[in-house]
Amino acid sequence: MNLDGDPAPARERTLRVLIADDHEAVRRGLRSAVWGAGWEVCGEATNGREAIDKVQELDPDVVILDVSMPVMGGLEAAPEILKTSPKIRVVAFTMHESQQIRNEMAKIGVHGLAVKSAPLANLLDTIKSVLPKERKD
Amino acid sequence: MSVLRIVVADDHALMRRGLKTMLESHPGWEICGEAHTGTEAVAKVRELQPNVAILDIGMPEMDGLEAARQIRQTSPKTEILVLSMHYSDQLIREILEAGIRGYVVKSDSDRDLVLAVEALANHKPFFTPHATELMLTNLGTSPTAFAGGGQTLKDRLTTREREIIRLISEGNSSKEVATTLGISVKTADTHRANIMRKLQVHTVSDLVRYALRNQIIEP
Repeated sequence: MNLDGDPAPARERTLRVLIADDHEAVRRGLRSAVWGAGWEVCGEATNGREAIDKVQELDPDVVILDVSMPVMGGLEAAPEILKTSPKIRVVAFTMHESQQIRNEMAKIGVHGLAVKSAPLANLLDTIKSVLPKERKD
Repeated sequence: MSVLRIVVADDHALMRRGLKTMLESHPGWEICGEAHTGTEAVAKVRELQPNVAILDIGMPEMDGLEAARQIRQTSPKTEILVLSMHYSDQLIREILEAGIRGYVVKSDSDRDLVLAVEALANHKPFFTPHATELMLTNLGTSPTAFAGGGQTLKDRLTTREREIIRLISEGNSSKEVATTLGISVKTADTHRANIMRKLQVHTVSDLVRYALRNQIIEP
């Protein structure tokens, strides 16, 4: 069984990623990076509230959540996303890494943290690192 | 069809990649060079002489504004499009003062970015309706707004001063600023005093607020 409960082997299905960031330029970069890795961008959101709705609607494997967004930030949206979609993998995305963000992430159960200023390879490595064992291909 | 050659400068690889992918999907547009600091952007533009240079405002070593000023001097045929995180009337003043004719923010749509590049390629200015509204509001409140908002050339911040504002706003002490920039503590303190005088601020908190508002540092 794969993440959707389909009988097909998990590694045959493309990883589906939802990206949530209020800046078009960041989403554009994320889209390009995710596609470049051979994965699919199944949807986009511009704030945490929208991300919660899109997760329910699209059932992605991974959601990349910008920490700082209008209406609702990523770390505020994450608990509800994890509650309604416990199999999803959540990667927080931030301009600046801090111990405070790490502590908050750990408390919420967010799986990974990627920094916007880091090389793109780091983001992709972070996504790979949070996948369940059977998806780490 | 002649190729439109573009240089992209942003310190974030993610942003450069997104811009490159999006702009190169447009027929006849080519990213001929990339830079991750203002200094590098000036050098690349001088070397490659592109039609358009897209400059992020907040870059290390030299910010986008100073890079734009230098590009205008060294490569006057290159049109400049500036990108910033969010709209700021102070920034618009400085952008216009630097002779920049295109400005979009990173939350503007791909369509705005394409329209901006198209306009600049035809040597026409491009400002989004939001930016135009801010300009007009400024004009309404201050007839001298576009001459520098009443700020004289003498009082305009230098590149070094903007760099020091960034370092102080990031929590560095005068000693740390001095070490980072390879100057004496006394020189760092003098710069600091000049900055406070020019900006008419009295505390580090005021300085941090200025840095955030003018996108010298990112929130």
